[in-house]
Amino acid sequence: MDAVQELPDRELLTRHAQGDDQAFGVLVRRHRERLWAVAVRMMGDPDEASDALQDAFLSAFRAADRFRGESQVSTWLHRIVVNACHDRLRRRKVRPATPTEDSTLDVMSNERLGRMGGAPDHASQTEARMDVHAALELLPLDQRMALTLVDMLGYRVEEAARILDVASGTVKSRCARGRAKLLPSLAHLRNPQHPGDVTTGRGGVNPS
Amino acid sequence: MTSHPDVEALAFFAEELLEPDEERTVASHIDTCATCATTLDELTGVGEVLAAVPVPAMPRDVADLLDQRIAEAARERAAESPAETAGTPAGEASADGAAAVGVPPSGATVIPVSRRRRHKRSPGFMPKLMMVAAAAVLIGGGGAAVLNGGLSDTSEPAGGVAAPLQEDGGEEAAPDIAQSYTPQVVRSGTVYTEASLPEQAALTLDRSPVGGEPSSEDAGPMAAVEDAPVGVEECAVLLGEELGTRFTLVDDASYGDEGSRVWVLFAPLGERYEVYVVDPRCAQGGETAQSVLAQETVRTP
Repeated sequence: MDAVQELPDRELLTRHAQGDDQAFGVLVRRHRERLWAVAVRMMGDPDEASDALQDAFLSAFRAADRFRGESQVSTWLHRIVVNACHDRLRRRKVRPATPTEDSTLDVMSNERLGRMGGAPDHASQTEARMDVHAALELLPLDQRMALTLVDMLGYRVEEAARILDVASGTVKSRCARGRAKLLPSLAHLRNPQHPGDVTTGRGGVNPS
Repeated sequence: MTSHPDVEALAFFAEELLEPDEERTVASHIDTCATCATTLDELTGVGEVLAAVPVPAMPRDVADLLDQRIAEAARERAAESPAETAGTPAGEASADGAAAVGVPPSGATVIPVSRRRRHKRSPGFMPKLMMVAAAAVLIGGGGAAVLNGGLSDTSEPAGGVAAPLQEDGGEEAAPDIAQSYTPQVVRSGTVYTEASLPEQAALTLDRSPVGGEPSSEDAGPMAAVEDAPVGVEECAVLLGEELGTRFTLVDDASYGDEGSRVWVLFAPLGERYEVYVVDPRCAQGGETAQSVLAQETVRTP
């Protein structure tokens, strides 16, 4: 068992393609946490992330003999997960008649500003997360995917480019466009504790 | 004084994506414009906000489900080629013990992923959609682009995610390669204009067999025509080769003030479509690209 655990990714994939019934399981356990993070960020919903991840790993399971070694196994797996998420997001996006993005973002931020009534320090982490995902939902998928990898998950632009199978410059421009579109709805979320410092009583009121 | 650059220009500036002269203009503007300097700062903030969203840890049940499904796949594979793994209960030994053994009995019945695709379409749409999907398959146009598109919801097996094209090459890729490069041809009756091309193209896509589920009720889906105009195939293939793309849909339509006949070619590009309006003479030799009258990129409806 230990021997299998220590095999490099590529060897595991080869063994799996040759009929080894354990190799792929090792590969899955080696990468699933990272790929889960990708899927859950992309989908914004654990159930859907789980579905996408299963789709992806089963697809990789079957496609392993087609892996030609042109990229890292990890990149290849990422790409399959990203594709699985993309498929699902696209279907999700096709369904509702979406209003135009810009006006929706404006409405969203206006509503929120009204609702929050100038007390941004009450914005809980959960609410911030929901806001972020609601905002991401309105981006074109290519921008959303680039931003998810680069900004949310911290992948280097070059890595994201390999995963998305596009040029680095394309990743950068997608990120730039995405950030510009998200600005109206997300700018207020930055450092939410900052404006509240004066009133939350941190430091002084509560004995530590 | 220069006018304010828009937010996108500032975002491009931050990524050093602007052309040198534009970059100089924006840079000098920011030096003197507090508003734009603030916006630039806020753009950095967007990245920070995104980075600050916590990632929930992978739930145990998700990990277990993955193990089960992989184990099941290994069992199925072993059953298909019994010689290789004779006597080995494939999969059951593949987990580190806990995952495969520790699951509750319900875990033994693996529920297809598709189960979760619930209530995503109005029931009224299903028969129509399936009909369109069937037509697309029968006609055989579009290939993987169609099969992996919005239509595949109803027809694909659970877990059927397309592996990345780049890695294709084995036997399973054969249907894709063998797939004729013939695009599907429709006649929407649209008179395209340069100004309205994006909207018109999006509507055609929306109604077409390749564009996914029609989203507007008043514009019904179109079926591919069987009497495709002569030369449309050559045109699509030649132009596709020239542009390094592959057209999956052609609208045999009209264009401009004169309403002259054109072919509007659609090629999928990620979740977008590249749209080319071409003169039907495009297949009659010469530079194919010169017959392109207009070009546009639209998002997949």
